[in-house]
Amino acid sequence: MVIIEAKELRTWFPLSGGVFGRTVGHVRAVDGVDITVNEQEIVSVVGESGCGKSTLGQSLVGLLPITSGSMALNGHPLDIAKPNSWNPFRKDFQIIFQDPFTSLNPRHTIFRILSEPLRIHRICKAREEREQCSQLLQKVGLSPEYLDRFPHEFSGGQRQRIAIARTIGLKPRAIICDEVVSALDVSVQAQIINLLLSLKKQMGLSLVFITHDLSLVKAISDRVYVMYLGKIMETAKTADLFSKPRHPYTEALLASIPTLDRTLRPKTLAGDVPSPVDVPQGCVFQGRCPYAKAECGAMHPELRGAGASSVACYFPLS
Amino acid sequence: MSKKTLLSIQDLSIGFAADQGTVPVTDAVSLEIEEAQAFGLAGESGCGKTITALAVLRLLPKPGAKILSGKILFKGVDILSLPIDRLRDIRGREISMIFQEPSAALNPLLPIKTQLFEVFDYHSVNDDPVKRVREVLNRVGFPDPDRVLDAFPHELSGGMLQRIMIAMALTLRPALIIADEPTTALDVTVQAQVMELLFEMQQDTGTSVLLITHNLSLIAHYTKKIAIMYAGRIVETGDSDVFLDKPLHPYSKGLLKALPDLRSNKTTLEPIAGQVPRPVDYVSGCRFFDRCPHAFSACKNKPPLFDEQGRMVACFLYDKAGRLGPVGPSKAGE
Amino acid sequence: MFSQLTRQRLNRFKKNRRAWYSLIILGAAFFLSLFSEFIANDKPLFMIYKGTIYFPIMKFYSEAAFGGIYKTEADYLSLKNDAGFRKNSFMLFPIIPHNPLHAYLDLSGAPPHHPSAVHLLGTDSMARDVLARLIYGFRTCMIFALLLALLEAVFGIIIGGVQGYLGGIADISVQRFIEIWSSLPFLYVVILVGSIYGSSFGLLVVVMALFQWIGLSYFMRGEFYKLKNMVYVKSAKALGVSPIGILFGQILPNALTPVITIMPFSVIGGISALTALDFLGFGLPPPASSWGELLQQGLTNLYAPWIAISTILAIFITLMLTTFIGEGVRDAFDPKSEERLE
Repeated sequence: MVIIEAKELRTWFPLSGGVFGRTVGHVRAVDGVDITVNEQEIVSVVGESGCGKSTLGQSLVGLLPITSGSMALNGHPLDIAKPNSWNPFRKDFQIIFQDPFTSLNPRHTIFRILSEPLRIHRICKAREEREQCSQLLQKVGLSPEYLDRFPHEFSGGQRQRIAIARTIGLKPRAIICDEVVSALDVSVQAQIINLLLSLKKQMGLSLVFITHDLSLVKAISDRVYVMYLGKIMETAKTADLFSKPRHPYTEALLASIPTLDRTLRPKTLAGDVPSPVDVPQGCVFQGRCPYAKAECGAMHPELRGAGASSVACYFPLS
Repeated sequence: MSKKTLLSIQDLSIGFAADQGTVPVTDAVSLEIEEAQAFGLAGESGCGKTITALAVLRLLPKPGAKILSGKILFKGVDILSLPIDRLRDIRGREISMIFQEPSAALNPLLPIKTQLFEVFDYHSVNDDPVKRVREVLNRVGFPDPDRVLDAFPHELSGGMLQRIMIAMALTLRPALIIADEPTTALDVTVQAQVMELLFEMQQDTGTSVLLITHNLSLIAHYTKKIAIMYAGRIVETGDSDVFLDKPLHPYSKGLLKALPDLRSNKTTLEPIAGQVPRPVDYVSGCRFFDRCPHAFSACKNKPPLFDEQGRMVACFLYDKAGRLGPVGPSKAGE
Repeated sequence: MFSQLTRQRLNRFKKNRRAWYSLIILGAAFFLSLFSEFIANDKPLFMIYKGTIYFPIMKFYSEAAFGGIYKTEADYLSLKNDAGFRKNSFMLFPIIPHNPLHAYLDLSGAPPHHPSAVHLLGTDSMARDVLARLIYGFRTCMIFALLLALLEAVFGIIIGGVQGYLGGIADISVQRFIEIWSSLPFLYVVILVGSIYGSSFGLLVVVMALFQWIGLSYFMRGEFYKLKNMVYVKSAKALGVSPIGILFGQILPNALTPVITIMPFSVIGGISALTALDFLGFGLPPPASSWGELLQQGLTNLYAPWIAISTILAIFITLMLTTFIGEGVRDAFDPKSEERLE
């Protein structure tokens, strides 16, 4: 069953300039994205910084105002113009952020942090709150005696666990994980990922992994979306994407990542990412694409494909 | 072929002033970098690698940080006891540094050219500044330097800024470049560009590079020798290629196993149980003790560096002189 | 109970000996001054007369109770001087047996009188004991300044907070309002309002608070602007916390740093403002004991230097202690301000 569905999603941020503060342009952070997430699946949205993946994640849960497009959660269409239309779905669709050091209010105890969502959504009675919070901490591998401590006293990995505990208390259907391990030590990243995977199994939830780490994506996702400059370049099942990338950007991305194999030197991709304020005409990737042809300059190609595989390219690799 | 030693850090211990007294952040760190060598100092955040690098140029904040003991010899001269004006001669000229965030290292109010020419105000060299600056900009991939020279930092991308930082570091032909996580703030595709460039420069100009990073894959491709740090101590050193094929220290092994890798088809990750200790909690014995699957009784003492076929490991598992206790999982993971 | 951050800052403050002792001294002095009536008064703390215990400071006893004729309040000082009365009674006077409002017209010579064993700091031009006036004046000053600082904080937090959180039109319109409001000469307003409604403690506090909140609101605006983008605020939104919940529960507790660091300096401002107003005669109405009024007297009676000197010393010490506390608070919140690179 499809639980998140977005079509032609655009999140543009106005830029004001000039003497009177008029809108002189837009940062096209998310520029026409189609994305679906099914029950109990792990979907990754991968791309480099500035590609809009974080903006996409926050737009899906209603934290950023969507400019145009359509969205449906749990099958219900939402009125994107009204931020309040997400309210009934807040319980089911949660988000965890990247920086464990700022995602928990430094002045709240862990108990307060965990119990606040329970209270707002009336998950349990007031006197059961403490017990519930203890259980949540245990679920994420932390001791219940931490309830009365403050975020300062914990490491980055532990804080991410607390952030995870905070969201699973609501028993959501999907959790958007916005670069949740990027700020953690390598030796701890795997712990957190494994925790999320086991919670997914236990609770039957879906995970939307937003990350730039392709190796991670390969290890854990069912399906992948590759983003570049606010648009989806390619989407496919994980195995297919990695073994047979069809978009030149995907290919370049895979080749540029250094692996532990010394014989495979990373290949560099020429040029720089264009600015999302000044989106070039035609295919957004042509400036750096080694296969660019004249036809690529007219209009940005649509996402075309069958089944789980689609690619936005006039000359997809085969 | 043994080259001359360029930088020799000997038993360097650095402490930080905290409310509860001085907290030791690094403990007897020793490493040697030769001329024209790419050396990788790897470890996770908080292990002390950046502090060690900053200490080489005496860039530690005072009164916050203190050198508790040890020596840093650069071309035979002890940096720690140099008078400040001699140190300033070395900074930028013989040893230069590239920091992690290029946008934070450049003054947003000054155009690039002012900042690139700045080094010439403090060091007298034989080069013509204009010629040399254009030359290094060419080298780092700006065929038309004028555009970049007149620009301000905010007009350029992260990758371009980092390349400019490399140019700045190269301008006076230093013997050693210290690069502190130079690509961590950059995208993967740009990262590859910048690392390739740095590596090329290193080979062409015979400059030594001390690469500080937490990314073991970068170590794999771009360094010759490597030292791994954990909780303020060096736990393993050796040649990079041998290290990746056969890591010795249990921490190194765990780290390599915990990394998801594009080459492999593994769908599960093997984390290291537990977490990195904080400096206030450092013990005097082996600091990896409570996360190590092979820990045994001897590990309660501080492990010295043992020689294992030319590589150094700080682990009692390699103590051939006896005291080898029962090996094996004496503790289950967390 | 306190977060680790708060405890750390408290510890750092305590380590600053100068600030910590200043706080103790000033705090103790203020606390004691709250009981001024028991420290400087011309009525005894308690007395025993003909076997009955009386508490003249707490209760009103007429002359008649002690063998006098009239129903007015007993004059305990003259009772004390009456040898006959003394024989049948026991009186325990406060440590400074003078009332700030009592004019000692029967002293020899014209007021202001030199310091003596009876009046440690002499009397002012109306023959009232200077030391007693200083003590009561201290209390008035401090309460005024603390109350003012509190009101400033409340107004500043609310207005600045709303500006920062809402931004946009709300922010801009309030900014324009503040610009206009702050250009009003507040001294004239105080004088005007005082002449219309009669100056009083309450009126002065309120009118001044209406002007003094502006400084803090700038800081709070900045803090709220900065904090509303914090990730934990975003997380709270995603979890469904209402905007009010976010303002009070998430942002406000973290926005209080400027309030605390400014408070000592607000107090200094309040003390100075009240003293200045009283000096000019536009502050508290007579015969209230106030330092400003004493200063005024000191100025017009320079040949009686004990008035001016003692008042100036009192003001100086109080402001100095408060400044030390303020610096200590500031350093406790930002210990890194002393760090340098080589």
